[in-house]
Amino acid sequence: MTDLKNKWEQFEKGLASLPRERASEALKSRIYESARAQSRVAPRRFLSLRPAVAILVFALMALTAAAAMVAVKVRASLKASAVHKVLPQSRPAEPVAAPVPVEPVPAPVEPVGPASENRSEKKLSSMGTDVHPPVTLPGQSDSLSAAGEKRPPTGVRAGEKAERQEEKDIRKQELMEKRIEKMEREKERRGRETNR
Amino acid sequence: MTILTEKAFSEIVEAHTDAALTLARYILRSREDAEDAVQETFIKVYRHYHQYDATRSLKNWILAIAVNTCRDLMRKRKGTGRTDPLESERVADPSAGREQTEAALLVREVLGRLSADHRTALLLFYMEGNSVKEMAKILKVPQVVVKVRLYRARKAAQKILIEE
Repeated sequence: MTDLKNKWEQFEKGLASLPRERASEALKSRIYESARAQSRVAPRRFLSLRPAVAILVFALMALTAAAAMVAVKVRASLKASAVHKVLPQSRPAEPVAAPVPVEPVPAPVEPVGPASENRSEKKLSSMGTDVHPPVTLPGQSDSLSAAGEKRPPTGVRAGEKAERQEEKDIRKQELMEKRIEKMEREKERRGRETNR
Repeated sequence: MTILTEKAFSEIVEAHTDAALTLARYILRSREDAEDAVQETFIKVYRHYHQYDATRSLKNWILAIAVNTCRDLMRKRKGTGRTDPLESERVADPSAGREQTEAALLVREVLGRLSADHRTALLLFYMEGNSVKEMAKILKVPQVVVKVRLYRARKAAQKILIEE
């Protein structure tokens, strides 16, 4: 029993006087390095932002995206409505000019067709005041050009743009053909009058 | 929130590394593991310094982190089958016989055979000189648990001493 008591006392003394460890400089520098590495990783604080702030930021981003989409759609619809206003589906018939006694036209009648469009146009324009040059309806050419010729289409989806352009081209083509037909009829009428 | 400057951190490291290393060394029974634990401890100190309650002792706060880190490390290395470093040190370290007293060798022998919890309790009480109340704060357990742990640690140590 006394032996155990002695041993225990010895043990307690030994515990109290255990040799202290001394940290080496290498260990301390390792600790500093790790701490510096931790501070370098500090930007991840952004990730630990409060959820409310994160949600707010996300909502703002979503709102901005939605507003941008709405703006694009509105612009597209406005453009489409402008085109319909300028080019109505049922165009009023062109007023036929009253027969005017004029000098005989020496030029032969050109064949009418899509291939000869350019030539006949050229011819007509070279006729001077004898024949009316291709007449445009009041405000028509302006509106046409305003509708799509001068302004490049922007902000509309590519498919819609292409379709609209195609429609415009077809309308222009039809208009041109009508004009040429009219000019031809005019020429024939004049020829008949001259013969008479 | 308290921001820890580099200077303040270096002061803390200089002041408390030895204590943390000593405790870790005797808990883990390996210098290498103890250094790893101390490094991890001070990283935690640096990262969580804003959680430090200034009314408490800084040393005890750091020792509490060190004890928990040692526990984590032991849990991680449970299956690695490490040999008992203290046992091997006695043979391997030629300077040990000269410098260490018979009591110190006896202590090492007994500590090496105690469980980690009992070892930690004895070290905190006898080596660091903490009271039961302080130990309860460090170990984050009720004071009764500390008392029971100390009682059982003493009994286990006495049993080993009888066997010696």
